[in-house]
Amino acid sequence: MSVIPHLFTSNFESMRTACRWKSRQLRFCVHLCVFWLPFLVLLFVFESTLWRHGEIWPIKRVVEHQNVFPNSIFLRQLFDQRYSNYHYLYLKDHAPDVVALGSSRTMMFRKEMFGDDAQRFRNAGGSLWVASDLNSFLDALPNFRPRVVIFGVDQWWLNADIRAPQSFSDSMRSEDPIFDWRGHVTGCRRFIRDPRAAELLLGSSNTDRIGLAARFSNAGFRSDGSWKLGIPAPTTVGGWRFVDRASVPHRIRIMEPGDHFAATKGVGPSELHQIRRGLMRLKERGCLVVGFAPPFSSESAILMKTLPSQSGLWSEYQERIPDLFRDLDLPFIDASTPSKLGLDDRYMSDGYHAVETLHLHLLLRMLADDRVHRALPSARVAVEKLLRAPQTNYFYVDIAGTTF
Amino acid sequence: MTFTTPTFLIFLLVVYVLYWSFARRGKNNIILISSLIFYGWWDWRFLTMLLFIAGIDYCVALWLMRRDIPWQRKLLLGVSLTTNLGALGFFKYFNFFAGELTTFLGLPINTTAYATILPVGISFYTFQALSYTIDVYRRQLPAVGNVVEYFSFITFFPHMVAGPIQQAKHLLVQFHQERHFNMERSSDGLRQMLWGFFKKMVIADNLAPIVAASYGDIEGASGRALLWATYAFAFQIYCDFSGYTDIAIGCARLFDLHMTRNFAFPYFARNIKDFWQRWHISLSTWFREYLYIPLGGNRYGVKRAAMNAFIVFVVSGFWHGASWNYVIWGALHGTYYYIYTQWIDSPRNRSSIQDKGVQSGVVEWLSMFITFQLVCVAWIFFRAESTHAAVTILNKIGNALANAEIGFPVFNVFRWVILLLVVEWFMRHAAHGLSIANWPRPVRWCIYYVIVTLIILHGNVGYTPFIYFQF
Repeated sequence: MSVIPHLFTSNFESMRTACRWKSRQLRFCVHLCVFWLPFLVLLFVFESTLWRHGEIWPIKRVVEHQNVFPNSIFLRQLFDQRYSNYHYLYLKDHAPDVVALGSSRTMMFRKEMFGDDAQRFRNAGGSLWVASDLNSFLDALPNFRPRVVIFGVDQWWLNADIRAPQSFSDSMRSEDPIFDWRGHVTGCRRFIRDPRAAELLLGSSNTDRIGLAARFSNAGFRSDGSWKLGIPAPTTVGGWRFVDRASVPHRIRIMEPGDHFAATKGVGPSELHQIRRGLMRLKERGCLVVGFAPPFSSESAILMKTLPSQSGLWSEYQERIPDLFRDLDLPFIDASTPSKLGLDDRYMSDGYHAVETLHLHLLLRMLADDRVHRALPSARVAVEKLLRAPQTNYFYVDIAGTTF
Repeated sequence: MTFTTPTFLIFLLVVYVLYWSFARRGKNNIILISSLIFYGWWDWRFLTMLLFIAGIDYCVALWLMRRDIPWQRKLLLGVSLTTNLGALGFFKYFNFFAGELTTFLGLPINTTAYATILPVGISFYTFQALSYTIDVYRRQLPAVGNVVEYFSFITFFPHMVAGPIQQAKHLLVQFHQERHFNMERSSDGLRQMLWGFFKKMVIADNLAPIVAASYGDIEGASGRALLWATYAFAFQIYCDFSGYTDIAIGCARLFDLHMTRNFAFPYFARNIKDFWQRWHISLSTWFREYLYIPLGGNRYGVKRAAMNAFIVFVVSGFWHGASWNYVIWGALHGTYYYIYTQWIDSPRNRSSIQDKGVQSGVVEWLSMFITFQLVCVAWIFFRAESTHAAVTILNKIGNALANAEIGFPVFNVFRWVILLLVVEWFMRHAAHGLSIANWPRPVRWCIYYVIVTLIILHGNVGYTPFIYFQF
């Protein structure tokens, strides 16, 4: 008889003890949740702000949005732009007839320059970083067969001694930093230090501006893949003078060799072979490749010609690249300085990036070749019209009566 | 899956919830499964090897319990020693000895064909397993029949990869006991983890590039840069390793498991003997227990004791890595220890110091300073790529000091080092830098928020592996 109350008591005690433990654990968990709540709220606010402004949209979403909103521009501020992936994702699902391809020095060709081919134009400038990237690009896009490829060949691609910051392959292999928690932590730090953070938190989104840099600097990639420069045009005649707007002026970059300007003796045979192979593959795919040497400002060109670390490459490039295109029966325009197009440094935004209007002149020079003119029959009329447009200036082309 | 990733935090949360949902046996099962997942996440290929080695030791211990004949017991112990040390020797030292032999004999052997990958944590779990079999052999511990308890002890994930090395008589017995949730212990465990994250992410990982910049380009670096890089490395390795240990110990406390302390603010040591009572305590304890004492310990006089200690230091250096640099590092510390115990800490000297009453604050600070400098000299060998590089560094630093070219460099991260020193000085009698359980809650929470914010804003989020993972 005395056993039953004992059993009842001991079970009750066990249950009470178990409940006490559970309530302690619960209390502990509640304390933890309360502690982390402010951080979670801040995290939510931060992430939702970035999402609202398109900063952490996956590139695929960006491409789809730009198809629907053709006036939108895209440029991230806190995360890497993923240029190569951006162009790749577009080209994978679309088959443009005319493509501008190369590094950032090819990004200024716009669809309006190509007349009837405007809607079938894509600027894929910024995709390629090193000589081997052309072949990597073609490997990744086996169905890439545009009618015309306007191909800018950078001088440093032929430099066997450069240490390129990245390549097309690297970019394709790496994960978008928006999917990496480390990218968000780094982005959060930059966001906190940005004086415009409050404006972003309270401001509304804009369907035509994808990314914080697009919103603030009014620069970025248009829906045709071309680059919209965010520099306001000078308002006085005297304001039109060359200024090297790079964060580190190019004369310093060229004189203190690093990255693109490592000291070298001349054109690297392996690099030249890569370009040759890539061009032959494009020819086999039925593309007319129109090559050009992107321009340097006069100051940068003089340095490239005279510095012992670069002069060998400069002079060999001038000879061997046109020869290569000639061998392959492809047109090539030497626009290595603005003067070669009858222009001057006012058409340059920095030491080795030219602006829209120079590209218009460049395209006109290309169209002087019958092969190019036959491939782009309505481009010449469009280019000449744009050149004559009243608002076209040294920097910007007058598209439909508007420009900066 | 390193500690400083969200993956680990999610993993820990899941394991924690499951662990406290079960009774003792279930808890051990959860620990074992989660530890195997944790180790397999690093490299599943070596999971089999880990289980095989641990399995051999498990069987050896059980057989030791049933054997009384000395030669049989010695044979069984030999099997355990051979398996553990053989695996350690092969994976860790094969390349080294093959290379040295090739150089010495001038043989055209292609050693890269046999180059081996070092399994993560092998230096730690083999020592841990050996401590078990040796303790059973010595009859200091009965063999464990429960397979889950034994494997949980060997594979327990917080300390699996880089220690602290736990003796079986301390940790294994806890898997046999009932564990109860204790809010105070869990809270202190979290505090210790937070402090560990701060040391690792804010200090160690931000010091790493400073060290790498100078030690990676010795010819181009000035003596001054190398001097400050050496100091930076001293704090990098301390914060990295003690940070890891704090996270491991704190994590264990969440499961009501207690692991022995591994660091006791070593840079406040007043002499080299004191330093080694504060640095990597678990390894020192292991070597004392299983090498120093079997060599004779201090049973045969002071000189012999110092010699035995010297041997232990050299072996300890070699344990760290297959390189003469580590051996020299160990030998240096052995030399310091020998000199200290023979001449400075001798009874005659000790009494004369006490007689003159020179145990003043100034002497204490000076002792700490000198000890720190001696330790930093040894760190040069530990960090340098080669012996030649270490000697070059020493020469350059020597020249810089001779020319008084030692201006303090402006590195933001040094402010966190100063913060660390201040906090740890005030906490030097506590278990860890954030032992503030008795402080008012609002103050505690403010401190937590400050530390978490510092980690978010200044923690290096790039992947910087824990230094001791390579051992």
